[in-house]
Amino acid sequence: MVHDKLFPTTIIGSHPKPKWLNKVRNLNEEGEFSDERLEGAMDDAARVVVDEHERAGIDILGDGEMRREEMVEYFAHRIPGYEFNGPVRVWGNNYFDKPSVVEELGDPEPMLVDEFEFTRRAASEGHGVKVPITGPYTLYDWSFDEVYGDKRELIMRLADIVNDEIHRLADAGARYIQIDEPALSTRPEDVDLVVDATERVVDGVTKEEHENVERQIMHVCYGDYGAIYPRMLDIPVDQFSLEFVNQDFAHIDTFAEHDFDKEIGFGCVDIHDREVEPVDEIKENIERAFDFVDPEQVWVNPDCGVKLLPRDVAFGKLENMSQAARELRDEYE
Amino acid sequence: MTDVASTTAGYFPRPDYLIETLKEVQGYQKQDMGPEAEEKVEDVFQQGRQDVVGIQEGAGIDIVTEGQLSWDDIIAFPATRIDGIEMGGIKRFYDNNRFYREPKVVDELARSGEITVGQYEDAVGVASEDADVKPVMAGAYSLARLSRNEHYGSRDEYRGAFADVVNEELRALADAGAETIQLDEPSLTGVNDEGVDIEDGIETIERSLEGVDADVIVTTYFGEISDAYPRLLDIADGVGIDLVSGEENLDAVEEYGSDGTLSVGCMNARNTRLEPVDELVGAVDEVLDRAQPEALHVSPSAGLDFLPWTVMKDKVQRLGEAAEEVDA
Repeated sequence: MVHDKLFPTTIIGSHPKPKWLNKVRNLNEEGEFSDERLEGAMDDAARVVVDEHERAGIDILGDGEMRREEMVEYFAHRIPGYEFNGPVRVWGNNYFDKPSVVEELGDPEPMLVDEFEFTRRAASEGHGVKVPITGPYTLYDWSFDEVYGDKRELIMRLADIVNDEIHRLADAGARYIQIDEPALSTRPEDVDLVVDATERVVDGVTKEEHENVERQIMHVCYGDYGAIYPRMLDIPVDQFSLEFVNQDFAHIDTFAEHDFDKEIGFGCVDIHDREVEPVDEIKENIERAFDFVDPEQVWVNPDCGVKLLPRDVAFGKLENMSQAARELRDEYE
Repeated sequence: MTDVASTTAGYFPRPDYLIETLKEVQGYQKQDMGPEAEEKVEDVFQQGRQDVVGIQEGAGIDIVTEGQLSWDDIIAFPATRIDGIEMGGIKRFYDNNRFYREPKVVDELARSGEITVGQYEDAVGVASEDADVKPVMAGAYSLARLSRNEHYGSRDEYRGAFADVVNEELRALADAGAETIQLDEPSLTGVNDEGVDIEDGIETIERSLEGVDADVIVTTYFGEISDAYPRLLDIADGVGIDLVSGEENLDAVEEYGSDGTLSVGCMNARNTRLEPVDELVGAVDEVLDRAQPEALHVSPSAGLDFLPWTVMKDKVQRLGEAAEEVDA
């Protein structure tokens, strides 16, 4: 297996879109380009990103979410029951079309299976494919609820929908599933709810239960992990991939206070800074993980998706990150 | 007899044309913030300000705000106009799907020029002649809690320095003619911040209000402030409470009453569901059953920037209608 080595390298999900893809999308929206042409452009972009990941030395890669505009919008467009009223600010001048739940949610058609199968075909041997899927708590938190009122009811409904999709992905051969829950620590008191929801999300598709699945990973960023630790270890996933650089490694001491009995996908490059970190600095960043886990538990990834960076900077960061992992592998093996 | 007026709580969503213009001139990273980036698009901000004030006036809102379209959030804008601050990592803004750059205080804090006085004056310029315009300023205690101290030797010195900066700005706003000022102190709710200390908060706010010749309404949102409520009555001309995310605030009003101005956040600023006017009127009546302040401001629970533009317009419309019905 690709990950059977020290410090497997991976990505979180998003990658900068080639300018021409945005151009084609605009032309498609204006009615100038057919849907088939847009599909073709997204296929091409996915191949380009898979190639960039491979050239940068990434072991478990993705298509950079070339087919997705945003991590909640994408799913809300496909799950019946949502409505869009316009952009809402996330931070600074960054906006997303925050959806509103206006009817009880229906069952969507398959959402990610085609994307996964295409990426797997595009990747060359010796590479794994990671499939990011937004988790129910974040789908809940990053939308408006005009219908359910009862938070748990809506989240559990979303958990069923996500579980159905992961079943389809696992049956299609997906090995590395990443449940994105950046909203996890929004309300520390909700962590029990996230534990329950995630149990539903991975039901029948844990690596113990499904022959194709190797890892269930949960990605969280912008979190005050300290406020939900060690309770977050009860969330039934094999690995947490977390940001560390953006938080200036704030929670390492807290993590060390309890047995961190999962793998850690260690965020070791800053996606909010255009400076490409030198290899030595990234190595030092990664070594900070050993304050709370053993080297065997560590996977290496950026803090978060890299889509807001210029493309050459994103590539430079991934390349240096992979080089850092290689050098550490030599030192620790 | 309580004088009822409708108002907004600042922080409007940006119109599409402003979002697009800013995308062209700004990047997304640390290097891209500050007055220089904003000056390039001042005329577009002014257009937005005019639209936002126009929407409020069209809906019959009695006390309008300029919309803080250039603020990003409570902290990014003032932080770039206070010396001694560097911008740090991205952090969650209270319990919202909203993030801000955490200011790091690395040197003595000093107001490097006016913060929002100019915006207030511009808003007065675009509003109709007899309109009441309410400037909104970030409160010292919340600024201190949302920032990180890497300079001052003690917590007291640190928050005191913010109080002095805010005090200077509040005085300048009063000098510029502002009669009512909204001072935002959401940190008093303690939402997602275990380090909040009400004593510290009250002391900091009191210091920031010294000698300010205007009615300052210390406004809170995202949660309840039962412990701080009676203390605020003592030190401020007015208090703003969130009834949507802080139902307990109603109990505090019942227990301690209200003199001066009570600003009641009764319309949900964080959900697209449009409240029927009756529901809003009912919420205000619940307050008036418990206290008879001199003035009652009917307000959204927080800035409407958490909503899409079109929903904001519908909400402002209903807010105006609700306040009129209460008045009648």
